[in-house]
Amino acid sequence: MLKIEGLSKRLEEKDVLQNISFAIHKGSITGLIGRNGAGKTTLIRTIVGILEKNAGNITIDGESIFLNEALRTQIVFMADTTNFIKQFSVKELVSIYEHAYPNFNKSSFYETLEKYKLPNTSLRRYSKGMKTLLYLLLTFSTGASYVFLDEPTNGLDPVVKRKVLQLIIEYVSSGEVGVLISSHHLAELEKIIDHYLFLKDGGLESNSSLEESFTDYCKLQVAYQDELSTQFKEHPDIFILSQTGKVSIIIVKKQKEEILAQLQSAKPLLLEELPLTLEDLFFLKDGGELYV
Amino acid sequence: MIVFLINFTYDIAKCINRTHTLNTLYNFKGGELMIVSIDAKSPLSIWEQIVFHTKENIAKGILSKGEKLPSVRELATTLVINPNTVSRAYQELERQGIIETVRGKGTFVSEEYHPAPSTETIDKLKIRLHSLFSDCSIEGIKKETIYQWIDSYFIDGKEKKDVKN
Repeated sequence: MLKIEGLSKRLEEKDVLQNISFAIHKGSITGLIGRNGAGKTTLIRTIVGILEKNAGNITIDGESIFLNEALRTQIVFMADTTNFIKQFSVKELVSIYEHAYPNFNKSSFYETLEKYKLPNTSLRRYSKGMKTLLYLLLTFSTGASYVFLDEPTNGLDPVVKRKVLQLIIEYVSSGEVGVLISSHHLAELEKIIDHYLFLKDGGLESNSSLEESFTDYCKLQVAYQDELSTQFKEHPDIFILSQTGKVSIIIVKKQKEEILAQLQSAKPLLLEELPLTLEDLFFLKDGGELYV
Repeated sequence: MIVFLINFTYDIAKCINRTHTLNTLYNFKGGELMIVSIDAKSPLSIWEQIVFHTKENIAKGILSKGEKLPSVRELATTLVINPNTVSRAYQELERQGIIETVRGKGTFVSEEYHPAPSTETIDKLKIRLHSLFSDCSIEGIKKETIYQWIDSYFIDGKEKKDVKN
């Protein structure tokens, strides 16, 4: 288990990360979500050691990575651009990675390279999708147990995107790696993650399992003859996702049964439960307005 | 050729299905064919959909007793979903005695399967049916037509089963 405790980072007089704590387990996928500028990339870059922390600790199975530098080979990072790798050839990249990661699995790397029909040449001949696949392959071939992916599916066509996600799932299925993915593609993230971390203004707003959130909260479509009464509108446990005419879409955060009974007794024209999505949770946690 | 079909839309739903489904045809190693379609807008969670439709496939005889199911890794990769979601579904199916895991060999449809749905499952199914029926009545579809669909579903199901046995 990789544990992050009280991690803080200041950048240009601003507290970009404040007291962040969470854990990553092998065999699981964690989604890191939040608005642009919430600190997602800074968090990942601080964990993997590109940026220096100002406070906090990171441990792997109880041992601090700041005291035992060799533990760094258990952590690997894939940036949101392929700029770093594009100037090299496949062969050069392999030797760079082998140098940094002694457990680099060369034979499995070349096997998968062939399986995905990626040419063993200079990357100048690679498309963006091919570069991303290769980058991902290099990342997972390091033998590191904790993999940090910064927006891995950004700007990819649907075919490559699917391959990228399948590759991630395949490696996680072995139970030997724990993955953290930052992404804005909530619909695709929702299907593959176990946990999500919601980052807001440099703080961890939420750290829960997707299933917990989906059972704790309840999304409803309600309609009354008159507008939704203020009793519900201003209820602290009700979040209004949208309102069009008589119909409102709301999320009940607590006391599900009680509020449902109240809504029911107010004689609704319509009261229907809707499936909750990660996007709904995003708006709920962000607390922002959805009215356009 | 072994055909394993996870059909994420059941017959009644198919008739008035307004949700977006994703259909994929995969050719698995050994020539196994797998047709998958996920209903992202289903009120059921993904693991519940796997449980439900595996059962449905068994009921229809698409999956027969003793037949091998895809591994967790295969199914997760094909459906592009979290492997733990597949494990969760398989655990539930195993708990209900519908499938069995043989260590080192894989997961198989149990030879002894006696359905016994929980009240929670029944309630969920009722809610789904309720929502379908209200859609039907909005579209002006008569009760008798729905009865016909129900009858044809069960006749189809029985026929397929008989062929298999």
